[in-house]
Amino acid sequence: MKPIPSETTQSLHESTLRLIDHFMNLQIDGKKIQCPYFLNKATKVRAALGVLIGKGTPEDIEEEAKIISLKHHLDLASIPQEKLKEFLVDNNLGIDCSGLAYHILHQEVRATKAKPLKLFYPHAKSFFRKILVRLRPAENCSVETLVSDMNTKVVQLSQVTPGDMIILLGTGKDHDLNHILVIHAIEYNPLSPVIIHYTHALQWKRDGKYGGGVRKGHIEITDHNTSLLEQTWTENEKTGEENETFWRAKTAQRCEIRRLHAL
Amino acid sequence: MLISDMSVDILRTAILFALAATLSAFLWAPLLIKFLYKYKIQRHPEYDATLAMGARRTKYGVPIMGGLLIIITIIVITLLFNWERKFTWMPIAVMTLAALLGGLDDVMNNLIGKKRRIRKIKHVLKLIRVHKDWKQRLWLTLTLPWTFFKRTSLWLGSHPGKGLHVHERLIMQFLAGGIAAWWIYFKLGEHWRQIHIPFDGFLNIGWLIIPLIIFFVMFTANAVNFADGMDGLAGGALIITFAVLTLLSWMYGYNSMAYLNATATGALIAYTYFNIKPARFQMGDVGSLGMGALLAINTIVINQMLLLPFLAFIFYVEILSVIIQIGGRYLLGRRIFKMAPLHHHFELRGWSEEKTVMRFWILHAAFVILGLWIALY
Repeated sequence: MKPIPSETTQSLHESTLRLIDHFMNLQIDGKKIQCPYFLNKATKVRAALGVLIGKGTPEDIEEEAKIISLKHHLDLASIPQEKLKEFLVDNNLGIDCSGLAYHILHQEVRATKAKPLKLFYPHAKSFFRKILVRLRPAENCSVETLVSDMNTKVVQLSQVTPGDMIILLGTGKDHDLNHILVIHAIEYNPLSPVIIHYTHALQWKRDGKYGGGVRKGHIEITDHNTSLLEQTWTENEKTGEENETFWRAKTAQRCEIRRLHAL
Repeated sequence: MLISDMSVDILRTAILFALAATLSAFLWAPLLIKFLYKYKIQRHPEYDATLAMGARRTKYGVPIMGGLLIIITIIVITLLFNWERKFTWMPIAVMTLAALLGGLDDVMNNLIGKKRRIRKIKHVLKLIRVHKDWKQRLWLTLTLPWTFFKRTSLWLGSHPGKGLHVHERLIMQFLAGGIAAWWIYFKLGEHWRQIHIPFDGFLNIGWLIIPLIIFFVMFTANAVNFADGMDGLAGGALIITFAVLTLLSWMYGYNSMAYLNATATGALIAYTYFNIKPARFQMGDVGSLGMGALLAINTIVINQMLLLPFLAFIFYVEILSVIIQIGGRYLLGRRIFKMAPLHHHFELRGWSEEKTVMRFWILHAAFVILGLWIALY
C-alpha cells in the first residue's frame, strides 16, 4: 500500500518524491537548477551515454555537467545560476518525458515492490536488440514502450492512483510528438479524485530554447463522467489553450490514463 | 644455497649499470629541461581536459617529452657497453621504434601538426550515394572498410588533437610488434619461442609466439601510455618493475638483459626525480610508449610473458579501466568510472595527486612482488 500523508491526499513513495524533487532542483556546484528538457529526436545520437540522450538520472546529469565543464575549461562556480541552465541545454544535458517517466516508475517499483522495473520492449525483435534493451533499459524506453499493453493497462479517470501515467500519442499540429506525464499525487474528496498532480518533462514553445524542463502541474476534476480533456488543467498558472501541456493533450490522437502492470 | 662468485659479479655489474645510468641521466637532464622549455614542447590544454581539473592547473606549461631522458640514456649506455645481437639488439630496436612513434605524436601535437578530421560513416555513406563524380563514389565505396576502421578506432582513444590518429598509432604499434615478433621467431631460434608456465615448466608455443608478442607489445606500450597522467606515477611504477626484471634476468642467467634492465632502472630513477610533483617535465608519448614496449619485450625475452599482468600491474589496471569505461559507455550507456584512466577517477573523487600516486605505487609494488614469487616456481 502506498503511504497516505493526509486523509485526502495519496502520493508516490517518499523516495520517489525525493527523486522528482532532485530533477526539479539539480545541484551543480552549490546552485540549484531545474533539470532541462532534452529531446534526442533532433540530434539522433546513437549508442551515446544515456545522460547525453535525455535518459540520465539527476546524479548522472550533475556529474556529466562537471565533466563537460572540465573539457571546456569552464569553472562552473563562476557561471551565474541563470546561465547554468543554458550551459546544460547547450551541452545536450537534460531529460525527455519517457526518460523521466522511466526513472520515476523504476524508483516507485523499487521502493514499493522491492524489485527493479522490468519492461517489455515491443520494438526489440532481434536477438542483439533484446540484449541491448536489457543492458540499457532507460535508454530504450519510449512512450511507445509504456503504452504497450504488455507493460500497462488503461484505467478509468475515477480509478486513477499515483504512479499512473497520462499518455498522449500523436500530439501537436502535425501529430508528431508523443508525450507522457506521471501522476505523483492525487487529492480525494472523500473517495473520488478531485485534483491530479502530475510531473513531466516538456519544453513549451513560449518558453524558448532554455525554458523547458521538468515541471509540475495539476488537473482539477470537475466532472467525473466526462473525459480527462474536459477537466481544468493548470500549469505555470496557465489554464486552457495557454497551457501548452493541455494543448498537447487536446491535439493528441490518443489520450489515456495507463497503469503499469508492475504497480 | 650459496650464490657463486660469478653470479655476484654479474649482479655487481648490473648495479654498476644502474648507477651509471642514474648518474649520466642526472648529468644531462638540465640540458634536456632547458631544451624542452626553450622550444615550449608542452601539453596542449585544448586536447587535455584534465588540465582544467583543480590542482592540475599547475601543469600548464610543463613540457612533455621528458621520456627522452630515459630513452636516450638507455640507448647510449647499451650501445656502448652492452650491445649483443642475440639479446639486447631486439629490445633496443623495439623500444626505439615505439619511442619514435610516440615522439612523432608529441612533436605533431605541439610543433608541426595540423588538426585533421575523420569523416563520419554516415557522411561517407551519403557521399557514396550523392557524389557527382563516379570515381569518387567508387573510391569511397572501396575504402569504406578503412573508414570504418578509422572511425571505430576512435572509440579507443581520446581527442587526437593535431597528433597521430588512433588508427595510425595502432598500425605503427602493430608494425613495431610485428617486426619484433618476426625477428624473434625467424632469427633468434627455438629458445625464444618458449614461455614459462608458473608451477609447471616451459612450453614451446611455436608460431603462436608471434601474435602474442604483437599483442603484449601493443597492449603494454599503450598501458604505460595511459598511466602517464600524474606526476611520478608511471616513472615510480616502472622503477619497481625494472628493478624486479633486473633481479629475474639475473636469476635466470640472462646477463645482458640484467644489465639492460638495470640501465632502465637507473635512468628511470633520474627521470622520476625530476618528474615527481611539481614536475619539471612529463614523460610524454616518446617515453611512455618506448618504456612500455621495452617492458613487454624484456619480459618476453626472459620467457616470463605470463607474468606481465603482475609486473605491469598498475599499467594494466589503468588500460583495463579505459576498456571498461568504453564498454560501459556503449553497452550500458553510462560511465563506470567518473573518468578514465583510473587515476583520474580517484582525482575526481577528491584524492590528491600525491595520495593517488603513492597508493598506486604501493599497490603496484605488492603485485610485482607477487609476480616475482610466482616466477620462482
